[in-house]
Amino acid sequence: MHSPRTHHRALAFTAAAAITLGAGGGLMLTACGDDNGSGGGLSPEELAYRADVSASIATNVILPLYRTCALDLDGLADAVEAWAADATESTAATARDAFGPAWLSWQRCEGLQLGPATMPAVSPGGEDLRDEIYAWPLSNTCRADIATARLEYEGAVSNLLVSTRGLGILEYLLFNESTANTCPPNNAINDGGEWAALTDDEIRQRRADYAAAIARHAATQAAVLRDRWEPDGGNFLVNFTDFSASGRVVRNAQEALNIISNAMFYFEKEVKDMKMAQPAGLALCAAEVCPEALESRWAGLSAEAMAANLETLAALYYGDLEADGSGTALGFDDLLRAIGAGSVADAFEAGIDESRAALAALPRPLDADALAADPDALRDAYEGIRPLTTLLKTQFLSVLDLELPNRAEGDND
Amino acid sequence: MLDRLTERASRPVPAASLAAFRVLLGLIMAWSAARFVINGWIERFLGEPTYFFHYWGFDWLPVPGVPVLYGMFGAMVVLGLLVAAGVGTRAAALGFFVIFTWVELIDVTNYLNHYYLVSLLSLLVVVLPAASFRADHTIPVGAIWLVRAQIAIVYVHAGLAKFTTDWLIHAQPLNIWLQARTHVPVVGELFPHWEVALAMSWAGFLYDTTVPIWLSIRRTRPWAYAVLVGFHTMTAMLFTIGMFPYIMTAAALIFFDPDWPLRLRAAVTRTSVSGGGATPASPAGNRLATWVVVAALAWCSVQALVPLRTWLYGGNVLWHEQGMRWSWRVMCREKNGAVTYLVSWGNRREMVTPSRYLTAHQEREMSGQPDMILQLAHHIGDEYRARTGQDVAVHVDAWVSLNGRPSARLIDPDVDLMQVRDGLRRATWITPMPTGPPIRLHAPRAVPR
Repeated sequence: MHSPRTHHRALAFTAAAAITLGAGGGLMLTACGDDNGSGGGLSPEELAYRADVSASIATNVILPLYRTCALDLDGLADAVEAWAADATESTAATARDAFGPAWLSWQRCEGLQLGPATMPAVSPGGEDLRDEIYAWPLSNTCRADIATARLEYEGAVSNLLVSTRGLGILEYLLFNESTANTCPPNNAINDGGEWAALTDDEIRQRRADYAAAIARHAATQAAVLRDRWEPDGGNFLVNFTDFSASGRVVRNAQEALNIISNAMFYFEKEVKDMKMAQPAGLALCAAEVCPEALESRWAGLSAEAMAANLETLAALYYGDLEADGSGTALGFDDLLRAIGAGSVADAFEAGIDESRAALAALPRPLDADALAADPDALRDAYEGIRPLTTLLKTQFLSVLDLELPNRAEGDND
Repeated sequence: MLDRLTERASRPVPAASLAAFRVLLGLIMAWSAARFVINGWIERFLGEPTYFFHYWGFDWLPVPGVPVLYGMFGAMVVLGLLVAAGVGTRAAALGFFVIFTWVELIDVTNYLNHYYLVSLLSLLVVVLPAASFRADHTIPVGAIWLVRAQIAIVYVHAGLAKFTTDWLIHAQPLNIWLQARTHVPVVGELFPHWEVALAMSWAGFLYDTTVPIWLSIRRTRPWAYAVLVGFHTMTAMLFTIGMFPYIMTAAALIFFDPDWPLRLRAAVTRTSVSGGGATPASPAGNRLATWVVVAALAWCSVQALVPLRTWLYGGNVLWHEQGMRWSWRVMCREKNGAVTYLVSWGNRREMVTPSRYLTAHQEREMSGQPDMILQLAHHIGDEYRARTGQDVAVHVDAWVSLNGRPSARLIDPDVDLMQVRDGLRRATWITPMPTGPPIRLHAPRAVPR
């Protein structure tokens, strides 16, 4: 016969065994396969897989894109300054020609909403440098006309409102051939006769000077942004490559991947919901279509911009600027396949391809005439990219245990 | 039988353990409120939103402005400290309960199981007898039983919530969560293994469902409490579950003998326990009223049965969420959704993204919870109806991934949600959960390129 005391001891043993050895058993199961002395049978490379993916994306995608942007915006600033120095049709045309590639180059960087580019509340290390270069959707052409009339651009460009500088206003100043202004008649520059007092040549010269000032400012800020990431500069890169470095603002590989995935949501929110849904008349548009909501209203590069944004998402996903899965650099595709989520990777890559096809089918230039001629074109493209954005927001986040952008830090369950 | 139970529940025991429970709970209540202020959560969760998801039947509840909310949270800190100090305990606990519950009822987005638990425990403090650490202060043992029962109910239901194939067979969602925590020192390198997730799933299930038993048996109690501390320490390290581990670790002390604080003090001060720690003789005339025992039984019955209501709905509660809240389903799903509304009136149609109305935090919570999706649909529909002066239909394109499964529709896209009323009946407008197991992740293996 067992005494009650013995019986209780047996119960205690059972409890302890069930709970602690249950977990321990699992750990031992994994340890049995240990063939190289490392924890649980994983090689150091396998253990550091997420960290390697983070480092790969930052090194092979983010930093190279910032380098390219800084270079291209510098070239654009040179061309615009040449136009301002000698405002002829020829120099204007050269500046306009330089704008497209540089602007599309920036659209690649525009999809990198992380680190110093963002506001501090959006991403660790945020310095809001992006708005210094391109403040879309903040753009106020009337306010820019006022700045033109009152020579406000002759002071420090950083004193101008963000809606009156950056690449958005540069596009207006470069491509708007009319010498009229975009302010209502009762605005002071019209009411008070300030605009009417300017000759067409004066307006053109002032716009060129204004454009040169903000183009140089954008180029300078792009260089600042690049330098923040450069290993021999601000070395923000280290936040994604070395999680033991001192002074880092990113704590671990999972947080780094989350920051990168947050940047990928630019395609979901800004591209799908703003650049597409609004001009397509699907959201926040009282008419059938709303061409005034197109991103590039003056240069007609809206479709190209969205395609560039998609390529950035694809590059972040593949960890490779080629973004076609042929590269050897690590990306989310490798991580998904490495942990057994190949079906998610397949779906994501199919979504990228579908999105590319949807955007390639858009008319070019995508402007008011194109929208009027084929109102469904942009809606079809919208539907074409939705499988990708839905996957991004659901299974992709779930499988990798990532959080939605800007989700408030708080308790769970 | 009731008479015998009343007799047994009336047996006087030292009040010290209940006093310790009150002190610890009061401190946790105060700290819970202070965290909201310190972390800026008043603005983020209650100030920034322009739309709030109401609890069914509570849409009349006023939403105070941020300055008032600061005052309310300040009051909760003070009231929590008063409870801890034992000064005006019942009034302070009642004040805390009212304010805390009011704040929690403002927005369904902020529902958390442990906030619900704080509300329940603060309400219990209102009705429990006053307790002090005086050796000669006794209370009816039934008061301690009531707290133990409440804690046991939480644990058992938290365990039963894990009695699913996802949890016990597929090790999800722990498999997903642990994969992402390889950076945790020492044990993190084991987390990528599915087998570890499976073992931890079973350990968690067995722990939750049985720990009240082991805590109730004197011989196993120290062991069980040691495991409890280890378990909650680990969950606190791995997951952002706020005060839950601390609440449970503190509250579980109620399972120890009622004089444990006296014994602890005696051990620390190397003195003897006053009165020898013996159970005081039952003072005549201190027998509990029968209605008190009946009320306590009713409380326990409600607490035990409410979490089971989901069985009336059929299907998987993790998918349709009917019966999800107030059920101690803690940390048992990884769910992400994408929701777009389609509003139509006359010959016009418009896509509406939830972010027009919600913060990112609200949108994330709403996207997997059908009743919240329905509620926002009505809000959007009412707004468009007022703006257009026409009848409005609202459909929703809602996709959800549960525990890593391929995303599937959560809501029937053909249903006009303006014609659907929220209620307790089974929601036929929610689509059945997709068949098929959740995803199974393994430790990273190099993939040939």
